[in-house]
Amino acid sequence: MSHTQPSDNRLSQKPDTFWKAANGPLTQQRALHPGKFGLGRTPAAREPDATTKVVCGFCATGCSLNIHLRNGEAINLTPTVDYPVNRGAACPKGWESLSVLRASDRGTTPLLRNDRGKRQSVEWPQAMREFCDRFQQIQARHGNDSVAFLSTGQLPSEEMAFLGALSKFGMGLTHGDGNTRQCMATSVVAYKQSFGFDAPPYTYQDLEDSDVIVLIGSNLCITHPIMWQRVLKNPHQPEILVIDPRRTETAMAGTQHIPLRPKSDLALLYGLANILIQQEWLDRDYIEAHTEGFDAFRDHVAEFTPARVSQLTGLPADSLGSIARTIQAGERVSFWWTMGVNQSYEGVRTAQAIINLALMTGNIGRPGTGANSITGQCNAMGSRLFSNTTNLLGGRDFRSSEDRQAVADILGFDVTRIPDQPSWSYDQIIEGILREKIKGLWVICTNTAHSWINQNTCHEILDRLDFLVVQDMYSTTETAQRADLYLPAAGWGEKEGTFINSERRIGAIKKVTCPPGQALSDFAIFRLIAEHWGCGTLFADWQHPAAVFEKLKQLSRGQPCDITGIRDYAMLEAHGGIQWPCSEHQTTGNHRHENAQTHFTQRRLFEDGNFYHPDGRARFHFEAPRQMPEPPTPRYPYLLLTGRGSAAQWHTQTRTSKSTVLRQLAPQRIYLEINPLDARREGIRPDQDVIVESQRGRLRARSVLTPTVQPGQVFLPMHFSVTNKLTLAHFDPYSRQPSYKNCAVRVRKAEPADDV
Amino acid sequence: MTGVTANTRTDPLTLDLLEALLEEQQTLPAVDRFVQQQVHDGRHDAAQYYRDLIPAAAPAAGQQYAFEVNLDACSGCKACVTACHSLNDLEEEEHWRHVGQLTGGTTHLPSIRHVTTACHHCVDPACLDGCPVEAYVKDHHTGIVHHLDDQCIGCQYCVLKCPYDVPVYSKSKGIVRKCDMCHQRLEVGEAPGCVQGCPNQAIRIRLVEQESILEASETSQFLPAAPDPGYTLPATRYKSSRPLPPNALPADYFSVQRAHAHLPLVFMLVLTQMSVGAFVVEQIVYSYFTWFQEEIAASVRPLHLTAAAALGLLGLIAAVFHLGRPLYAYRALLGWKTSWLSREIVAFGLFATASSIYVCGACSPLPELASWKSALAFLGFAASATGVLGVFCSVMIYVDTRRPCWRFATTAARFALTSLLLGIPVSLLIMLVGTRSDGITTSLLMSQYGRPLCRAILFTGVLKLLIEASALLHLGRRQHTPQKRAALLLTGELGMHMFRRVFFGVIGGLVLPVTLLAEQSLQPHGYHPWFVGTLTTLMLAVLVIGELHERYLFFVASVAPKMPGTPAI
Repeated sequence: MSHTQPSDNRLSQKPDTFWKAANGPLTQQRALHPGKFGLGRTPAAREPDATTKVVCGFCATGCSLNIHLRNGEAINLTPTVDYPVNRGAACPKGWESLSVLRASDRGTTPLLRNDRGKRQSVEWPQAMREFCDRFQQIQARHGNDSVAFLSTGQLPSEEMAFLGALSKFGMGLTHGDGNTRQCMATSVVAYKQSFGFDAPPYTYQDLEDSDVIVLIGSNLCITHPIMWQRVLKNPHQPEILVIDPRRTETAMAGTQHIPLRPKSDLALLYGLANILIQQEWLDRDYIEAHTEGFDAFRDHVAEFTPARVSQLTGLPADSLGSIARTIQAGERVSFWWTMGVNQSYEGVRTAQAIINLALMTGNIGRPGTGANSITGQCNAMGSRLFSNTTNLLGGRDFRSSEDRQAVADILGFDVTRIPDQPSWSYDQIIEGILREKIKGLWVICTNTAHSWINQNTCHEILDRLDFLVVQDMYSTTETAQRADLYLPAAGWGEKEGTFINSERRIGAIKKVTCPPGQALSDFAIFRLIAEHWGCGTLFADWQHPAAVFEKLKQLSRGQPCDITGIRDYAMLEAHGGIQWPCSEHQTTGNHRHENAQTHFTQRRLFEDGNFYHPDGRARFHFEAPRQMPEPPTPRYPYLLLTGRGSAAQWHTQTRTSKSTVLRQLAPQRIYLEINPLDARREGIRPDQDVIVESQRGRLRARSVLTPTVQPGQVFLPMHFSVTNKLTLAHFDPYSRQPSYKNCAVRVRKAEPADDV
Repeated sequence: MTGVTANTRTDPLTLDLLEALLEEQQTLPAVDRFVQQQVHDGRHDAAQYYRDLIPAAAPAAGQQYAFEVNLDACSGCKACVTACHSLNDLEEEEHWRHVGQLTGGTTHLPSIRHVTTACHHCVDPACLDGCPVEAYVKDHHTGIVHHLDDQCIGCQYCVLKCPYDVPVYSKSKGIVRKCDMCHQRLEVGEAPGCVQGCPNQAIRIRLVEQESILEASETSQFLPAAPDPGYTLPATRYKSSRPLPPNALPADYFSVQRAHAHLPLVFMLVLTQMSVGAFVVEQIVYSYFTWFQEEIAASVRPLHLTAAAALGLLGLIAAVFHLGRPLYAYRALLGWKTSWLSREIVAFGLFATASSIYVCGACSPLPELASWKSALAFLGFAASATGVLGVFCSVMIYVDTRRPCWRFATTAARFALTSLLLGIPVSLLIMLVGTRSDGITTSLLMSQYGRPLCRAILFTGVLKLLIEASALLHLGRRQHTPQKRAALLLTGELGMHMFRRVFFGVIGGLVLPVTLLAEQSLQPHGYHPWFVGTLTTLMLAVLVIGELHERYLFFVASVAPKMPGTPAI
C-alpha cells in the first residue's frame, strides 16, 4: 500500500475546466484530514481541537465514547480505542449519541396543563410553585406517602442519590421505584439471596477467557453488540450454548442452540443440575468449602429426570445429556443471562438455578467463569446501589435501624427523616394509584405509559392521579403527554456524573454540549425543588455531582460496593473506569495490590470463595416450577414473546427515534414474527396487516413470516408503543419484576373494517 | 391554572439560584478540565484492531480492492452504517452502507443472516456507463469506482442504472454521492470507516483478481434474489462457512415499495413525446391527406408546427427541473459514447434545433422557390427523424437500466404510442382551430380528416391500455418476481392512481373518439363546430392527463431486484 500523504480528496491533478471538474468545493467537502489525537483521518468539516472520553448513555455495557470537541462543544465522536470495555467499537446507538440530543421535540421550558386541558409553556418559578404546592396539598390531604416517584436506570448515580435523598428525606415520600424494576430486579434479588449482596461477579474479560459460554434468555448480538465483540475475541474457540425459544442472531452465531419451550428454563436448569449430580460432574470441594444448602438442592432436583424435563421443555432427552457434558467438559464455564430470565414470573428462582449450576461446578471466582447477569440500562447498576428506593443508600436496608443511623450520620441528616420501610415496588405503586393510596406521581427519565405491562389498564390508572409530573429530555414521550406538569431535563452529554456498568465498572459522563432552551440537568432540577420545597438547607452541600460523588464514596464505605479508593472523576478516567469494590485499602499504603494496573483494569468477585453472607457461604435457592398463568388456549392459541427488535432501537425509542440514522436502521412499523406454518393456517401472507389480540387489548402489525419463531409462538418487538396493550400484568413474587414475555394471543388477517 | 402572577411568591434567593443554574447549564466546561490526550499527528490509535483487515500491498496488475464480508461474523448490529456515516460526515438522510437480512431454513433449523452492503466497486460499473457527464472514474490502480462530485450535474441516472441502489442523491447539494471505499484512508494505510466500525471484524478489504470476479459472475449467484452479478461484475465477496439454506430470502422479499416518481421526468417524457408525435403526424398528414393541403397548409401548418415545437421546448424545460445542477447540463454531451442519457440529450438538442429552424422556415412568408421547398421538406423530415431518435434514446435510457419492468418491447411500445396518442389530437385540434377562417366546414374537415384521426386515436388508445394492462398478468405468478411486485403495487398501494389512469385513458382514448365518430348520425346538419372543438379539446386534455398518470406509474412501479432489505420497512 502506498503511504503517500495526499492533503485532500484530489482525484485528478488536472485543473478544473469548463468541461471537467474534479477538484471543486464539493470534492473538498469530502476531504479527510490527518487526524490529531490519534483519531486517524477525520472529515475536514469536523476537525476537533480536543477530545474527551465519556461513557455511553444507552446500555449497561458501558462503552467509552471519544467525543471530538471544538471550543468545548461536541462535534463528532468515535468509540474509545483504549477502554477496557469496548476496544474501539460501539453499536449504532453509541455512534448516534450526539444526534439524539438535537431533536426538535426536546423540552425547552416547563409545560403546565391549563384549565382547558392544554399544555402551555411556563417559567421555572411557576413550575416549581406548582410542583411544590400541588404535591404538598396532596400530602396534606392524603398523607406524606400519597406522593410517589418513578425513576430510571439512566440517570447518573449522583442524580439518583439526590433524587432518592430529596424525595424520601426532604419531601417525606416513602414510595419510589425505578424502571430498573422492569429489567434488573430479578437479578438483584437472586444475587442478594444467593451471595448475600447484589453483586454481579464478573468482568468482561471472562467472555474472552471462557471455554464454554452459556447464554440464557439473551440475544447478546442485538442487545449488547459490544459484549458480543468480546465473545468473538475469545481465543479458546469456546462452545457457545444459546438457550432461547427463538433462533436469534445469537443462536445462529453460537455453537449449540437449545430451542426450549418458553418459560421452561427453570425445569431445564434443574434437569441439568440433576444430570451433573447423577454423573458426579461436580466440584465437591467447592461445594463443601463455600456453599450452604446443596443437599436439599440435590433432593429437590432429583425428580427432574431427563424424561420429565424433556417433556416440560420440548427438548429431546439426549440433548440434555449433551448440554450437561459440555458444561462438564469446560474448564472455565461462564453462564450469562438477560431479560429472558429476568422478565419472568419465576425469574428469581431461574436466575438462582443458573447461580446454582455455577456454584456446584465451581465455575465462579475464576477467569472465564461466573453466574453473570447482563444488565440493561447504562446505570441500572448505579440505581441498585444508590437510588434509595427499595434499598437504603449504598445497598443498605431501610428496616435496619443501624443502617438508617449510618446513612444519617454520613449525610448529616436527622435519622427520623429516614423511613423505616422500603418503598413499594413499581407495580405496587401503580396498584397504589388504583387503590387511591397514591394521588401524586413524579416520573423522572422513564416512559411508563409506553413500557409498563398491560398498557390499557396502566393508562386508565395514570389518569386517576391528581397530579402527574414528568421530568424528561423530550416533551413528547407517551407519559409526558399525559402529565399535568412537564419539566425539561438535560440529557447525557449535557451534564456530569458517573454510571456503573454491568461488570461494576464506574465511568464518568461529561458535559460536552448544552441542552436547548431552559432545560436543566436533573441535578439542577433537584436543587431547585429542594429550595422551593423548603428543604434547601438539608442539601446545602449537594451543589455539584462531584460533591455528591464524595457522599456516595462515604455511603459505600465498608459495604461490598466500597468505592472509597476512587479519588475523583479524574482517577476514573485515568484507569479506564474502575470496578467496585475499590476501597481505600486497595489504593493506598501497604495494601496496594501487587499488580495494581491489571487489578484496576479487570476485577472479578469471589476469587477467595468468600461470599457476603455472614458465614461467607453462598446459598442454594430453589423452588418447584410454576404454571404459566396464561398459557395458550383454543381461543388465544399463540404464546406472545416480546423483546428487543434491533440494535438501533433502545427501549421505548424516546431517544433512538430522534436520530435519522437510527430510524433508518430499524423497522419503521411494528411487525409480528410468526412461523410460516402458523401463518398458513391463519391465512396470513407475508408483509400483510394482521390483528394481534389478547384478552386485554389488540393491535395491528405487519406480518413477518419466519421459521426463527417456533410454531405456536409469535414475537413482537417491545420498542413500539402498542406492544404492551397485549401483555399480562403478572410478576415474579420475590423481585416484583413484570413477566413481559408470556401471554396468550390470537392472530388474524386485518380486515378493512378493523379500527386498530 | 392558578392566576398567580409570576414571581410574587418566589423567594429572591431561589430566583438567584435558578439564574445561576440556567447560566451554568449553558456554559461548557473549559477544555483544559478534560484530560487532554497527547497530540500525535497522523497516527491512528485504532489501527491495532484493523491491521489485518486491509491489504498490506497495493493491487497488482489485474487486481483491485474489494470488500469482503464474513456473513458468519456479522451479527446485524449495523454499526458499520453509523461508522460510515460519522467518519465521512454524511448528511442526515445519506447512507452509503446498508444492512439487510436473509431468512430461511426450516422450523427445525431456521436461519437468519445479516448482509452488510455498500458500493461493490464493480469491474464493469453501470453507473459509469450511464453517466452522461463522465463523473464516474474507475481507478486503474485500485479498482475503486470514484464519483467526481464537482463534475456531477445531478441527473440521477446512475441511481437508476446501479442495480444495487448505491448512489445517493442529495437535494441540498444537487448531486449524487457514493462510497469511495474511504480511498483517502486506504492511501495512508487506514481502514475504511465501515471496517473500523464493525465490532466483529466482519468487513475487510481484500485484493481480488478481476478475472476471478468475472468467473464468479458466470458460475454463482451473488446473493439470493439480488441483481444478476453478470451485469456489472460486483467485486464484493460474501463468504460463509455455512451455506445459506436454499430457501433463504431477503426479509423484504414480500414487501413492495414504490420507487421515486421523478415528476420532472414524467412531464419531460410526455411533453417531448407529444411534440415528436405532433411533428410525425404533421409529416404524415401533409404527405397523405393531399386533397386540401394547398388550401389550408399556409394557415394551419405554421400553427401546427409552432405548437409542436413549443411542446417540445416545454418538455426540455421540464427536464431541467430534474437536474440538481442544471448550470452544468452542457457537460452531458461528454458521455455520448456510453450513455443513452447523453445520447438523448444530443438527439433532443438536434430535434430542438431542427424543429426550430423548420418552424421558422415554414412560418416565414418567404420565396415559393422549389429549392426552398425541398430544403423545408428536408428540415421537416430532419425534425421528425431527430425527434423519433430522441424518443428512441428515451426508451433506451430505461431499457439500459435492465429493470425487468422496463423491457424494450413494452417501453418502446408505450413511448411510441404516447407520441401518437397525443400527437394526433394535437393535429386535429390545430386543424379545427386553423381552418375556422378558411371557410372549410367542420363537417368536411371531419369527414375527410377528423374521422380517420379519431379512428387512429381509438386504435392507439385502446392498444396502449391493453399493453399497460398486460403488466397485471404477472399477478398470477407464484414467484414474487419484480414484475409481480410491480403488479401488486399497481393493484394495491397504487390502486387509486391506476384507476385514474384507466379512467382518463378510457374517456380520452375510447369514449370521446367514439362519441365524435358517432356524432354525424346524430346531427342532421353535420358537425357543430363548437361541439367538435370542445370535445377535441377535452379529449386532448384528458389524454394528456392520462399519459401523465401512465408515466408516473411507469416510474413508481418500476420494481427492480435489489440487495436484501429489512422487514417491516
